[in-house]
Amino acid sequence: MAEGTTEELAGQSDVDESDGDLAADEDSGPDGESEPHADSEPAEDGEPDASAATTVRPRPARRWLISVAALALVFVALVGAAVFLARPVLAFRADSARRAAIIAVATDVAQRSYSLSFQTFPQQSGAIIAETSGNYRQGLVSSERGLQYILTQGQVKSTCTITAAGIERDDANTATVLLSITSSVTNTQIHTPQVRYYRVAMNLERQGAKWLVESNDVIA
Amino acid sequence: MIGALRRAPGAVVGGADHNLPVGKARLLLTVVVLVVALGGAAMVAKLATSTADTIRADDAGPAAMAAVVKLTPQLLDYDYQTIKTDIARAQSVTTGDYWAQNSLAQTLTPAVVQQQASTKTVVESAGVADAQPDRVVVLVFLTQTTTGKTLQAPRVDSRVARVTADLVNGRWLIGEFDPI
Repeated sequence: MAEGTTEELAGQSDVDESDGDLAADEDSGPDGESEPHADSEPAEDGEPDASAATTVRPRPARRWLISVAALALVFVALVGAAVFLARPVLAFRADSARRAAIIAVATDVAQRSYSLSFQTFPQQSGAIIAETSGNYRQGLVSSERGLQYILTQGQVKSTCTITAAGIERDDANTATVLLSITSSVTNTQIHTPQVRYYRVAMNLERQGAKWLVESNDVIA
Repeated sequence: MIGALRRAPGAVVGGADHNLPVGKARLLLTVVVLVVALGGAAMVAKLATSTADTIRADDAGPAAMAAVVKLTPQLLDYDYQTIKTDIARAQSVTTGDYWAQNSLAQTLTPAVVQQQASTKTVVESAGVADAQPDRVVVLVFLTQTTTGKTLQAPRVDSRVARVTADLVNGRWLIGEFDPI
């Protein structure tokens, strides 16, 4: 009797498998609930069979729920992938912003340092000193009056163009910048502007949010 | 009894179904989740491409700078006794475009031979001026020492050049050399 019931159940299961969706859809109420299919009603006097229990197919609502949950999982995985992929991009942007800040300070100090006028030197030197640090700053401060005297005596005026700048090396706190500078100079001896070319290497260091020049060397 | 057991899972689901959206709400929710998932997939795909470009650009600067430091002497060095070999070597480290724009081979050889000239180049310093994944501009400070029969002593020139490196078939080559 048990065997016969199992076979019977298996046969009924096949019917359920073949038209499960359709039957379930037809039986589905407006709220998505499914009524048991008439053909799949098992014999009441049979013994429970594990295989029979596992042949019950999920209702459409459950399948829908699983599908939506799967899509949600996919979305969560995509968000994780996006975070993973965004990290190097954000790091690169931070590096690019840092390098732009380094170049900006270096070119600004170079522009001020190689465009001097005996008439405006006090203002210029203050602006240069504000963007420097360490021994270089100390040297500028201590030689400020002497430089003013030399420039005034020679009535020196110079203008410069930064023809190129590149970062030799940089990290989070230090950097070395190379600059190519073309300067035009006049003084009491040179009335026609004299063009001079400079190769300059600047070392910078970060203090807080600011980059400051700690050395400014002309390379022969 | 079997019937009761077979109904059990369905009954559980049926109970849960009460809380699930139905009809248009279900369709709308399905579409929204699908669109969000597909949109997310598209964004991640675009981000992956962007990340790959970013990593290439990040690597390009140091790699191109190292190549320029190495290749610049190979481009500029010559000796009147080995001028043909020198020109062949210079061609091998430059892009075709560079060589097409520079008729050095025609003009350099006779002058070098006639002057019995030779030049040695040392790159003193180099810095990245601009970096793209396939194209990097490097500022180079170099010193050239030139000898020749018309020079009583070796002439030393300090020079600055803007060197553009192009990535060609996975290899950095000099695409432009602009003395400043």
